[in-house]
This record gives sequence, C-alpha cells and structure tokens, in this order.
Amino acid sequence: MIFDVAAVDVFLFLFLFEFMRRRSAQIAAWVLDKVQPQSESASERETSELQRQVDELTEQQRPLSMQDDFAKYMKIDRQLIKLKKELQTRRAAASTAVKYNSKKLTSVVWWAALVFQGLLMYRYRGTVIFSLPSSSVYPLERLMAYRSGGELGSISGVIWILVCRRVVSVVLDQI
Amino acid sequence: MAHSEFEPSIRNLLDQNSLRWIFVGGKGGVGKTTCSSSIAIQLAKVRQSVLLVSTDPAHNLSDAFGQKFSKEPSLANGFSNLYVCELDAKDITMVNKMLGGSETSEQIHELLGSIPGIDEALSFAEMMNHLDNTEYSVVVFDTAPTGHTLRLLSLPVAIDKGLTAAIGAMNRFAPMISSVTSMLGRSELLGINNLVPRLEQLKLLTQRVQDQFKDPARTTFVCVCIAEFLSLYETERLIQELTGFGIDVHNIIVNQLVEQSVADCTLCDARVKLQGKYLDQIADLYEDFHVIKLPLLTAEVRGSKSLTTFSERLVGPAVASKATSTTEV
Repeated sequence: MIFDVAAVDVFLFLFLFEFMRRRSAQIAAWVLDKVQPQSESASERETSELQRQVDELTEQQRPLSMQDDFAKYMKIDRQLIKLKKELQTRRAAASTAVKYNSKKLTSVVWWAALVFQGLLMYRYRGTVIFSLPSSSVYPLERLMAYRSGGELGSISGVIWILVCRRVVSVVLDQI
Repeated sequence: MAHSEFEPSIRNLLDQNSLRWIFVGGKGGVGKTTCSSSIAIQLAKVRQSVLLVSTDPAHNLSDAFGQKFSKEPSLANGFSNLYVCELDAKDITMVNKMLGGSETSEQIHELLGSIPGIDEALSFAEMMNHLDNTEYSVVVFDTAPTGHTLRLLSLPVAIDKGLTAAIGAMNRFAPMISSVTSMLGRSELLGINNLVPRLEQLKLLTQRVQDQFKDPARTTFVCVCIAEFLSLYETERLIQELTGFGIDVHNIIVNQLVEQSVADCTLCDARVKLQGKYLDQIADLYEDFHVIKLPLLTAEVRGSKSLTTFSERLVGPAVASKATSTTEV
C-alpha cells in the first residue's frame, strides 16, 4: 500500500471545516463577543439605566403596605410597569440585533467552510491519495480511482474526500 | 389644574357628543347595573336614542328596570328613547348570520360557536351593525365582572390573529380539500368555499371594532368600585389593563358610600372611617379622573322611577342618604 501523507491532511482539514460548519452559530457568537467593543454602546447604557431605575423603584415599593399606602404603592407600580415594558422592548430589539448579526456571521462561516471543502476537492482532484491492491476494492476499483489517473487500486482524492466527509459526519454526530 | 376640569360627575360623558360606546364595569356586586342604567337614563336626556346592553351572562337589567327585556332592544317603560336588551350568549343565530345561515354546515356552526368568546365578538359585530344603521346615538354596556370584561375587550385582537391564521390555512388547503371532495363525489365539504369569504368579512369587522375601542372620542370605560381594598385593587388592575389595550378610561364611580355616621352605630363609624381612608387613597391616585361618589341608600334602587332619581346623583352633588333615600315597590 502506497500512502500519501496528504490523506491525513485531507481528513484533518475536512474535520476542521465540517466542525466549523456545524458549530458556525457558536463560532459566530464567540467572535461577536470578542470583536464587540468592551465599552457599552449608548443603547446598552440606556438599558442599564432603565434596569437601575427599576431596581430603585422596587426597593422603594418594598417597605410599603399595599393596603395602607395603596395610592403610593400603585403610583410606583405604574412607573414600574412602564419601565419594565420599555426594558423588555429594548432587550427584545437588542436580542434581535444580536441574532441578526449572529445569523449573518454564521452564514459567512458556513459558506466559508463549504468553499474550503470545495477547494480541497479541487486541489486533490487528480491526486492519488494512496494505493491498495486492486483486488481489495474489487469491483469498485475504477470508481475508487476516479479522476486520479492512477492504476486500478488507487484511491483518488475526490473519493477520499467523500469518504472522509462521511466519516467526519458520523464522528461529529456522536460528539 | 382647574378643579372643574375633573368635576365629580358624568357631565363629561354627556357633553362628549362623539361618544358611541360606553362600557361600565368593575368587580362583582359594586353596582354596575345600577350605574350603567343611571348613565343610560342621563344620556337619554341629551341624546337622540340610547341603547343599554347587558353582556353579563347573569343579566340584571330586567330586574333593575322591573321590566322583562330580551335580546331584541325594547323601549324601557317611561322613556321615549331608551332601549334595553340582554344579549343571549347561547343563541347562535348571530353565528348563523355571520357564517351565511343554511349555506354553511352545522358542524362549522358548532365548531365556531364553541370557541370561547366568539359569541361576545359576534355580539359586538351585531351592535356595530346597529351603529352603522345610525339607529342609536350611543350604546352603554353593562358588562360582566372584571375578568370576563377584560377577556371580552381583548377578543378583537385575539380573534383577528386567529382569523388571519385560519384564513391562511383555509386558502392553503381549500384547493386540496376541494379536489378530494370532488373525487369522493361530494360537491362541497363542510361549506369550505363559503367559509373563507365569511371569515374575511368577520376579520374586517373585528378590525373595525378594535379601531373603535382605541378611539377615545368614540369609546370610554367607566369603572365602578366601592371604597374597599379588594375593589380598589381590582379597579387599578382594570385601569392598567385598559390602558394597555388603548381603551380610554377617565371616570370612576365610587358606590355604596356610608355618608354619615348615626349616633351609637359602631358599624357606621367603622364603615365611614374605613371608606374615608380609601377615599383619600382614591383622591390621591386618581387625581386626573372624574371621581363620582354615590351613597349607600336605605332602599334598593329598582324600577324606572327609582333609577331616574338615583341617576341625578351622577350629575349633581350627592344628597344625604336620609333625605333622598328612595323606595320602590
């Protein structure tokens, strides 16, 4: 058996690219977390301020008796309802923005992984990754040597990549 | 802020000619029926025609007026332009009307008639038809206790969403169902072909109802409460929910007030003190509302005459309960 070290490289690259493709959402979230500036944006400052106001009002309301200080209690309650509603709206909008950015980045990572796999296939399309005795892959020896230009029993780059993809999928499904 | 801007009377309702829908609601047992009847009586003096409708399944208008009312508006005794009706939630003739009567199958009637709240929505649709006919200048609703009324008022939004989804599903599956039914040799299954246009019609109507509810020039809610904690708490929750729905509310009636303490009456003393405490809270919390105070009378307010006398309190200062207590036999 003649073995080309490219076989291992191909397997490892495929593993990496498929891993990237499957974990594109997490990778995007990690990147966004690192790339976003440490200092809060204006919107985040406003959200923090709203939360501070809510906490403050909740503290003010806590010692009051709803029955004896009904008016005061309810006036604070009205403010709390308004602030909480605004806070919820802001957080939903921020979450939507984060989801949108995450989705965009996920898409980029996903497509990058796919393109790299395609380039890999193109790079090794005419390469013999390794050779086996032709009898060991009978009756598929011609298929296994597809586009390699090698003799029967050769495993071409294209076939090797397809096999590796399948193996990587099975392995990653278990993880 | 001028004191007269929030005068303790319902004159603001009488003066606002654009008002078409007045809901009267609150906790159970606070006097909604008496107050809604009184408001309707006062409106009858200044409007061309008034319709008083009970949407409470436990109807009381017949008892309040001492006259039997049905689902069809009837003229109240002693009035020339005040009509009263008690809607029957079990009557699915409204469902039939909206869904095309005999053209649509019984199964669909039953299915739609059993959706919670569909009858109330259809009742509103029925009243919208009345209003479109300019038959009544204003409609006063004597509603069910708070929880039911909130559900009632949130129905247009819920029904709108439901109908949008239902119409979408029908449009998607109707061609397939039509193919199947024609293969089975039935010209129509469950009246599907007629159902979609009816549902779209209902959707338009519910959107109109929503628009009406949210217009403060056309719709307002009058809260009735008593000067006790639970009633106040429920009133505040009601007002917050109504504000969330976008429904105007700026009148509160505080009913059943013990006006003066009788000598050696510890019960009266206690009640006056308790109510006084909550009245102060009401004045503090609802400083931008019209807060109308009504006394607890020595006799029940029943019958047209008694209601008419009682209704005067809504537009003028309260008179001492001893001097003006009315008795109706």
